[in-house]
Amino acid sequence: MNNLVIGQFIPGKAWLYKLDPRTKILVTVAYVFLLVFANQWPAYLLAAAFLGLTLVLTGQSLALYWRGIKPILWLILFTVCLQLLFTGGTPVLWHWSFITITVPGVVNAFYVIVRFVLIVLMSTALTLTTPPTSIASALESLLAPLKAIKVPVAELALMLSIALRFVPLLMGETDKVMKAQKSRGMSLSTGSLWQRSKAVLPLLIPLFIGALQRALDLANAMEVRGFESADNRTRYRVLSFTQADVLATIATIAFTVLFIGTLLIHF
Amino acid sequence: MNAITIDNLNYGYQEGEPLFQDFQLTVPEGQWLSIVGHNGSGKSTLAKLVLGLLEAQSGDITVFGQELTPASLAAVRAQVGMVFQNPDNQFVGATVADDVAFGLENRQVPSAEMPALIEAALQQVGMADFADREPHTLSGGQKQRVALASVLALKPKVIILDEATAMLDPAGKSAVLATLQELKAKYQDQLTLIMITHDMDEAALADRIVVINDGELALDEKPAALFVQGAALKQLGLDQPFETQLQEALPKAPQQYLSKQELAAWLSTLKA
Amino acid sequence: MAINIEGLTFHYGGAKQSPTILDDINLTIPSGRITAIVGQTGSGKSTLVQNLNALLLPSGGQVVVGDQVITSKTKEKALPAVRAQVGMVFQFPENQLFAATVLEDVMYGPKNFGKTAEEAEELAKKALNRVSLAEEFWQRSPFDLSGGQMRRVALAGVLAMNPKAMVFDEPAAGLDPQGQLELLDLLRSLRTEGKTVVLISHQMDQVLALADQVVVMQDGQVAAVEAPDQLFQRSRQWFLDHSLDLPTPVAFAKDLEEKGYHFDHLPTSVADVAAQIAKQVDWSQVTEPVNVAGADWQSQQASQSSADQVLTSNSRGGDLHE
Repeated sequence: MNNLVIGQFIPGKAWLYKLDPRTKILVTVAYVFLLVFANQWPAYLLAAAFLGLTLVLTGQSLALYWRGIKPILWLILFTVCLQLLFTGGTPVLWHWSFITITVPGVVNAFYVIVRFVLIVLMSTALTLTTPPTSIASALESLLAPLKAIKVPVAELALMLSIALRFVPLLMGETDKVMKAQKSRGMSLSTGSLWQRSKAVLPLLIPLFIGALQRALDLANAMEVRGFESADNRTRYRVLSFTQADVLATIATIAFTVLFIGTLLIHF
Repeated sequence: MNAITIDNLNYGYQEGEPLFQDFQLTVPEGQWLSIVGHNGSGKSTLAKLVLGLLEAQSGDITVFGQELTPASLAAVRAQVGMVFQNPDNQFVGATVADDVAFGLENRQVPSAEMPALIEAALQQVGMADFADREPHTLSGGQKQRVALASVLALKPKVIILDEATAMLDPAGKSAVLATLQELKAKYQDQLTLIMITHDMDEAALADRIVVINDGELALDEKPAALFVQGAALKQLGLDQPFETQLQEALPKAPQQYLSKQELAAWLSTLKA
Repeated sequence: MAINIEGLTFHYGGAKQSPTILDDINLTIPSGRITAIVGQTGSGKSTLVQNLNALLLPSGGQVVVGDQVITSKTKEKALPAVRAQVGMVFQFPENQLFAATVLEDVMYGPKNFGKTAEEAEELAKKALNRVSLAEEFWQRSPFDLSGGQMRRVALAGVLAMNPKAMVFDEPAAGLDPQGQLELLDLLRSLRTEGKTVVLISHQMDQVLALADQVVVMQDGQVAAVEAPDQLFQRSRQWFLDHSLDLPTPVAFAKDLEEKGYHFDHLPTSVADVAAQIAKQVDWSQVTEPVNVAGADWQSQQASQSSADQVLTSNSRGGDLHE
């Protein structure tokens, strides 16, 4: 039912699964950061190669990634149109009334597509191979220095992982309440804007009350199992860097150096 | 020794609407007790009071000789585990193993010791093969067995099950009940089980059944002695088990409780 | 109003990507009867009933509700008319309550389906009386009620729409024995009125006690459509293969058949089992004490610490559930 690939975790045993989640997050952040500066085709080519390697190391089929891209195609198309329409310059390729399409516009649009797709696929590779809780605990570990300025990092990480855990549940609940109210004649597609927003209440209120009830139940269950504060706990999932992480780091540094090199050299 | 002693308990949700008035109940160590009663009879509230999730207006609750006070709360909870009704709302971890780990993490068990403890706990409920599964891929019955494993990992002396099978299908229900029977057989007197339910077939597994009605202890019997009290049960909004109803509908029958198998065996002697 | 299911197939999205959930279902759900749909979790029961009121549209085939035909091409605009005719009570329906008062919540359905406020209120009051929710609760918030009372409000919310057919998904789940009996009575009274009643249940005792027709689902297909007294004649192995329980009286009768008893018809209740056993035994040879209506076992038992002895002394003659 849920065809969304982006943000989903799929269990596996490929090489990328062995990496420490902190490494994966840092590499992804560095990659996205570097891409912002890409301006010429060699940089994009290099970035695409790095992504290709990453995707292969996830051990998932490329068809899966295609399914991940499909739902956001319209978003990409929209951005492309904007680029085509609003990039000026010469030479002009085509002109009709207020619409002018230029060569730099086409080039820009192409780069936007590539950049967009690269970023989406890289993030997908991260979430696909890393369970949400690992992402949460990696963030907790990476943000640990913020504890010094009284940021409750442990609490925030626990909240995040519990919130992630309840997402599928709340989606199922939304579907159920929606169907129940539709059976009682709810219609969200007719009437004025005011009527339509009011029509959402029979959906939102049960969801809100249900979520509240779940929260109360969960608090009880956590308390009974000895939860007092997020800080005074040991951890089942211990994060540790291994050889794989060293390799990944070296590869990323090599990529970074090459990438900066392509930016400096003018083709 | 008594596992749980409840003495002169007074509690009401609202001022002037008492539910429990001078309520008394003693649960000896190693007993399997069922607490039954219709919806709203106060049976779940009782469990929450014992675990300090609700606070009584007055009265004493003692767990293995230790009185329940704000100061002793953690120590009491270390001895009493609880499985709740809704399988989804007590699943804290992102995977089965993480969920069992949650309690261990709270008790500050060293990380290195956890995998073995988790494995052992999951083994006992027959869920060891599911350690890496995420909750939404499990059936209700499987989730409840994980909840049971999460409690078992903490090695409690008492486990309270608050309508833990009420939301399950028959297959899930019987898997959970079979697991409970195995656990009780394994731990014998080391484990006190308190099962809150309104299902009489389920209650029949216990050594003792306490019927609660509007905060009052209406009946307190062994299952065999309780089930023959058809009129009393009906008045309390509860069912007699099938076998007892049948026994009473026959022209003649032994004047004691017989299980389904025993009744069938007795009937077969008449036919011979 | 009968519902006809003709060659119904269903899958989410395109046929290539997602597995077939319902596979060529052909079925007639008659009016004035209770049709039970049984099968293990994941067999397609829920998907099937959601096709009955167009919450899901068929991928292939059609569902005919009264004079409306629902196919994959049915337009959104046509759906409310179907839903007004087929009321749906989901599992744990109390989770759908939302309004400020009980009465308003029950009025929601009728108002959506075009009733005026006065008409809706009239229908709501009737429905609330029907589920025996006392008038003192009508102006209260549904969230202040007990679980059992909330269930009644939710049921009333669908009853008030006065649909010609009603679908119940595990309506008795979580109810205590008294609540379950009342619910079964409600279903029977709907049948008496000539409504088309569909019941999804895991509890075979309920199915045996209520259903006129049982549909067994397995892996998205219909494995059997039979009257209960015919269906439960099948072998124990058949029920094991379909992950279904047998109703308690039937299971007990099958046990006794292995011990030499004979049942000339499938027993549907305790009294029925007892009557059929009684015919086959020469009771004059039996030395056990006689069971007399009103005989009190308690007096012969070593009394435990019973807190309430008075309750046990009433007659027992009429207290068997049907």
